[in-house]
Amino acid sequence: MRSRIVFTTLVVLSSLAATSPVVAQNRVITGRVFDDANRQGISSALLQVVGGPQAAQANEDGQFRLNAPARDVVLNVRALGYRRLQVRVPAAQASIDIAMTREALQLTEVVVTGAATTQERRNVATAVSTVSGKELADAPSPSLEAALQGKVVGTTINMNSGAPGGGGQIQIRGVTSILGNGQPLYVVDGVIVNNDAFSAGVNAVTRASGSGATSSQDNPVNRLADFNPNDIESVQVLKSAAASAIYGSMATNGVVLITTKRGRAGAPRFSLSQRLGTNQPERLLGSRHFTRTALASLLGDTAQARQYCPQETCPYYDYQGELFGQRGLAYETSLASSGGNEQTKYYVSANDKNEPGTMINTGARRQNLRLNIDQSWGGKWTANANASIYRSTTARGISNNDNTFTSPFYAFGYTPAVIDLRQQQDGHPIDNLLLRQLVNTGSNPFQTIEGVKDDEDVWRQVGGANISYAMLATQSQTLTLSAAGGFDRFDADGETYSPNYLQFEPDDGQPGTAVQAEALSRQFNGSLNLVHTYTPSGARFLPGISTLTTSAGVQYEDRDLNRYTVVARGLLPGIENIDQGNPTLNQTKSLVRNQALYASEELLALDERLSVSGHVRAERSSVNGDRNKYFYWPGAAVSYRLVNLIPHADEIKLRGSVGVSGNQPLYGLRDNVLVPNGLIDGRNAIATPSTIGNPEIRPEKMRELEVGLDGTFFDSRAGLEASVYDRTITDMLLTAPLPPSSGFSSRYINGGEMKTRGLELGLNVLPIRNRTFTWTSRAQFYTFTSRMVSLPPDVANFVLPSSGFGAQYGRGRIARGQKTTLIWGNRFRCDADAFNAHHCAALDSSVVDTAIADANPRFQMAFSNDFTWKGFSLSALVDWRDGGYVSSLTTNLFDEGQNSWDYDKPSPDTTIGRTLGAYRYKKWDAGRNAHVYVLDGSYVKLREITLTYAVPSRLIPRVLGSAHDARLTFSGRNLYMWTPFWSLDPEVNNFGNQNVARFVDLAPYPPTRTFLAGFDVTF
Amino acid sequence: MRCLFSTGLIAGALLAIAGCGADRLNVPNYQNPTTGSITSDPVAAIPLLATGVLRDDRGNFTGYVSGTGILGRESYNYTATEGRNTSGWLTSDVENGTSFGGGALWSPPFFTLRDAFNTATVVDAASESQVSATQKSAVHGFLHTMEALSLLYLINTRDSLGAVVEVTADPTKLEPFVSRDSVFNRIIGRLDQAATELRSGGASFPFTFHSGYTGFTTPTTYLKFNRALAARVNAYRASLGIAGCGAKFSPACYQTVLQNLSESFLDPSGSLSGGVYNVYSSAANDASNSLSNSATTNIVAHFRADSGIELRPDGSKDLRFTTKVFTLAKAKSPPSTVDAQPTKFDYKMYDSRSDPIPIIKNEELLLLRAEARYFTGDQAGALADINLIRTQSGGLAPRGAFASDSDFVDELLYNRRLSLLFEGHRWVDMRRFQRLDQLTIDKPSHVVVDHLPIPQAECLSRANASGDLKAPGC
Repeated sequence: MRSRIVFTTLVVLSSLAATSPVVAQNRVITGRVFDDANRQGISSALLQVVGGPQAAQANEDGQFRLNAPARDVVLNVRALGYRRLQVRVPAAQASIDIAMTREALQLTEVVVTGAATTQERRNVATAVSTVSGKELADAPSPSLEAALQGKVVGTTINMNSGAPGGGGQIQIRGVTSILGNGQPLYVVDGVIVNNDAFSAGVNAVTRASGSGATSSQDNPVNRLADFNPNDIESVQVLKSAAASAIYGSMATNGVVLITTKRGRAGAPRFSLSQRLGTNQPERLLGSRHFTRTALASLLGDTAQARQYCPQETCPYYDYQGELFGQRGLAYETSLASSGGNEQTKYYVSANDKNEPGTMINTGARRQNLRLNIDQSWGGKWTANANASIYRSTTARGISNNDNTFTSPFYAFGYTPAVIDLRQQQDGHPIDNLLLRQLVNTGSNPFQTIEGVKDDEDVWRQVGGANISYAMLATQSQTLTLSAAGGFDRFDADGETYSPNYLQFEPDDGQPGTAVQAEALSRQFNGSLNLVHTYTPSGARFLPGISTLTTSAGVQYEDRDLNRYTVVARGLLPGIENIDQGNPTLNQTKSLVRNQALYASEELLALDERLSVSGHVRAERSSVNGDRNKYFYWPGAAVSYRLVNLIPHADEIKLRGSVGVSGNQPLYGLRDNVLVPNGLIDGRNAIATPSTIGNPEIRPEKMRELEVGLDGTFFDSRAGLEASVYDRTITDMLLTAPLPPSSGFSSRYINGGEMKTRGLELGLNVLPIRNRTFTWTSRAQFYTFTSRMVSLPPDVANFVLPSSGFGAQYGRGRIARGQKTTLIWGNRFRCDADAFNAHHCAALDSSVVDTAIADANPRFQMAFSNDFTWKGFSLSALVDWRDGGYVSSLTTNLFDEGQNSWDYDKPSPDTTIGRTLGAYRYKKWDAGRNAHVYVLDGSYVKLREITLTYAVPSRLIPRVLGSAHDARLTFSGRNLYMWTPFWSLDPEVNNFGNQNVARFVDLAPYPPTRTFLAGFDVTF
Repeated sequence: MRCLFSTGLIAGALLAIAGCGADRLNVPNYQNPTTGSITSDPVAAIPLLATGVLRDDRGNFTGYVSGTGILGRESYNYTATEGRNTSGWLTSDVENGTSFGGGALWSPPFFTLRDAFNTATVVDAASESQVSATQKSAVHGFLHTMEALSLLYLINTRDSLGAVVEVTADPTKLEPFVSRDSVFNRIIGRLDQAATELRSGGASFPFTFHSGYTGFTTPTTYLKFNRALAARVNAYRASLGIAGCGAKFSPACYQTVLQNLSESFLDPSGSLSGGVYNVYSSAANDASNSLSNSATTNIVAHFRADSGIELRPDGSKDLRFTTKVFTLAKAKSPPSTVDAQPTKFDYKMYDSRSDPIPIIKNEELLLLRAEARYFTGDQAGALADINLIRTQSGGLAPRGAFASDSDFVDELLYNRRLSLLFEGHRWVDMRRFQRLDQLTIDKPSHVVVDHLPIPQAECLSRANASGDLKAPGC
């Protein structure tokens, strides 16, 4: 198959090679591109010869070298954040300086619109958000998700915990699926990459969910964490269905396109960046300061209370401060080199990042190497190849839910802080006897976290190549054939070990637990594309047309995953191998293959004011019921620019798009199967599955209508981007419930309809801009609601499996006409006010399971400001979420343990509880009034501050010899949070990444604040 | 023009490439065998499916024993991280179909019904050369017996609410709720039908039983297990006064119990523990006894496990108590998260993870005979059976004649309580003799219920249904 593609390609290419005209290249233009206000070089400015294939990119100083025809040429000069320019260079002139003016919207940016096509943002008719590499790397982050927080309007980005190494969820324009994939498609330089998360097996220790190796509550890292933000040139987020439909049935959740840095022609440049710093918890809770009386009442034993508390005021130990008191050296070292000539360019980088956790014995390290090469042969063949190797290791300790009191905040919730748990005995911290007395079991987090290993070690390779051949290149037409392909493979090696001596280990009669949890992922995608552009010089073909781009292609993709785990219990002391004790084994494998054909048409007309585009993708997949059937994913968009129509409005673009994108069924849904039912007496058993497969299963279908307005005002000093969208998702993939009396739990179906509507606003302003001072300010706002419009008539409303901890704490439900983001739980039937339920003895005190809060924020805003004064620049990012409720089991744990820090504060109603903590717990009434612990998760977070000082160029030679550029940087992340939320962080989720019902806070790893200082030098 | 031609050529080539790759999309299911791959060979499939049915029954059983154990005040669950394991069964939450107790013990019997249904379908579809008519009859006898046993577990927990009794080919079609009496009549109908099928089931089953069925692995011997279950069900019907069997405690109905027992494995001179068991193992992919003390320290005996225990002639406690219950030196307190009483008692009959749990045993059959004899007027026979149990199982002195019906019931329930301790009987027995009010209410927040509600998932599935398709109490 593969060899046939190549063969066909060669035949086609050779038949065409002889026929195209050759463009002469016989002079070099050099020069510098700079900011017209502060005269600093503009790095990565792109210069293109109009009507020719020649192009060059400026280096960090703005200097460039461009091959050009001998004749007079016009250069198209673009740089992100600057107004586009066209500069004429007469045949006799060899060098030119080009001054550019900043603009509030990045209209010159190149936006990906197809498999092999791009457009300038100015002309793009859909909402695409872009974040530049600089914005990502300014304040170092645990992973890309954190670096993107507050920077992509309409996109909800939450970190699952504060643990080192990352782990977070990106949800573009709200809920799109209930059963199907809920995460965006991530594409790095054309390679579709895996963003799954794999637990290292800590569930075997915590037993958060059964006794298996893994569960969704293990706080794993999703594999986006492997990628190094320093290597990223830009991140584009395709949000609308019209834009993302180029990825067909992998696209309803949007597409995140990551482009890495590339080499530039010129003398080799070498840059070194070093950061050093430290991490600390952004927020801890503390616990109750016990009195002897209170302790005696909790223990039910005055004599014992006297032992712990010699005086009425008990001693108090800051358990959380101590356990989360690790302050290792955080560092990040980046080396990059780039250079080359007009034919060959390279970019090489190496990065080593160490992130100590705030919890003892935790940390993360990421190392990677990258090589990007660009090569051209003559004027017709160009190729690029990218190869990167990553190694990520994490030790994340234990957090989230557990059933063994091994999760630190879980254990702290029930342990009065009256004894020093750090005391040593037999070389380890002591057993937590106080907790054992209270709950018959227990662990000392100092002992547990010191002893337990929950480590993941990932080796990953990503590589890709793209070769293109300009079959035709004239003033008016180009025809380019390109072949692109790439792979992503990794092995994630998870090892968990819980030694025999730990206090809780003998509780199951099998001391010692060892887990080996392996995940092997292989993905490949490849495509062949043909792109034709027609740029009429006059109006001889179709009047008014500026450019007509036609493209077509074919794509193949596969994803292969093999996951297996071994849990061994009952170990020999000190031995971590899994070939001892009682082992249990588990394996899951999947393989998905997709084939697609696509075609698209883009038209620029009426002096480039009108842009019209349309495309369609036909796709079939191994996961569909009918594997031979093609599903079609069309999209169309139109925009028109009104230039200087209204005073002070330089340009207003009106745009609208409609598109249909899809979401594939998951592997295996299509098959009617019987399931292995274990052994009895060594004999195999088989049984019906609890969920029935569906041989008719097909992709979900999302139809989206988006309209928007982008405007620049006041001489590009202000820019506004506004979009509203209306998405309708039909043929939804559902695990439709069946009555339990049928002997099944559910069946996989396509059905039902969901609607998501939203508004996105972005305002960029350049209030001050002069020779010494610039101020750039950005604000963004978004809001959406997601509602289940209908379900098929034979499907009952249902409770979402594993969306919380039952009606007593609140969980998700899919119900006709209701928002999908609601939290449902118990309240008293008698109570009129859902949010202030109370005991009601005389009235109907029975309990009803109903909607009690909405986990979806009313809106989310972000403010970002950059100030530059001479060599100094300061940037700050503030993120604001208004509303969004959280089921806070952390609060419940501390109140149940009579141990919350505010337990002894005055009670609002002493007839219910004598103190505040007692009042809350009593009012919750063992879960009959779930709303008490469903808390407002609003916040304002100061996410990033970065201060940079550029060493004046006249000082550099004295200090750094031949360096071109030197900067000193100080940055901080997660600096402060203002929130009414009781617990650690309202953005976390006990269940990690989840499509719907992301609202459970249960003993998470606390959020981490980071300070880093360092320098960047370029030679 | 040439350009357009080339474009067309390439587009054509691309389409051709895409077309020839269709077979690459035929990816197997690595996780589970497809239904067709199993059922196409009935000879190989029947042992797998039959073992699946046995495994379903075992899978439900520990939950049934521990759940009804809490309801019958035999046990507590002290799991500290999940207080709802207690509050969901003992407080008014148990009346709510979303609670840990209220939502429990409903779905599992239907899984057994579904697997039995599927097995029957495969058996029926097999040709005579693959599975003979005799063997088919044997398999149906087995399946109908297991179906009856599952329905018994079901109606024991839902009692007056009634239940759904059948699964059919279309799982989306709601099956009606029928009354408690109809459920019992269905159960006995199934057992009797199974008996007929077993009698014409030839010499062997086309599958192998697990070791818990030792002695009951041929259609002839398995029939004795079937009849033992029939005796239990008919005794329940008699004591409840089920329509079709006669008034409460009517001799006619109890007469059938005696008839059933005569065809069962009842053996006054045999081992009292003889019978059919669910077996466990700690081997990989097998299931271990989750009630055992090695598996959990959280399941403990009720704090009044020792109340009313009779003494033996030497002054020591009833042997059944001392062999089954472990008395701690100091009371164990429930975790602060669990709303229960401290207890001094723990069970020791399930010590290791591989200890079996009886489904039905000779000792129960003797007690059923005592009950049936008494209510059919054979007081002497009843006394003989009771004394056999008292002396052999409890090491107690034999007792004298019964003074009254209530004297007999007291004696019967005392012996049933200890002989069948923590085997899933206490709550059911107290209910059928209308003595639930004698169960201890340990704490003010606790209640004693006579049935569990219909779980939320069933209620939601039937929210728009009417008539007998509606779930009662939702």
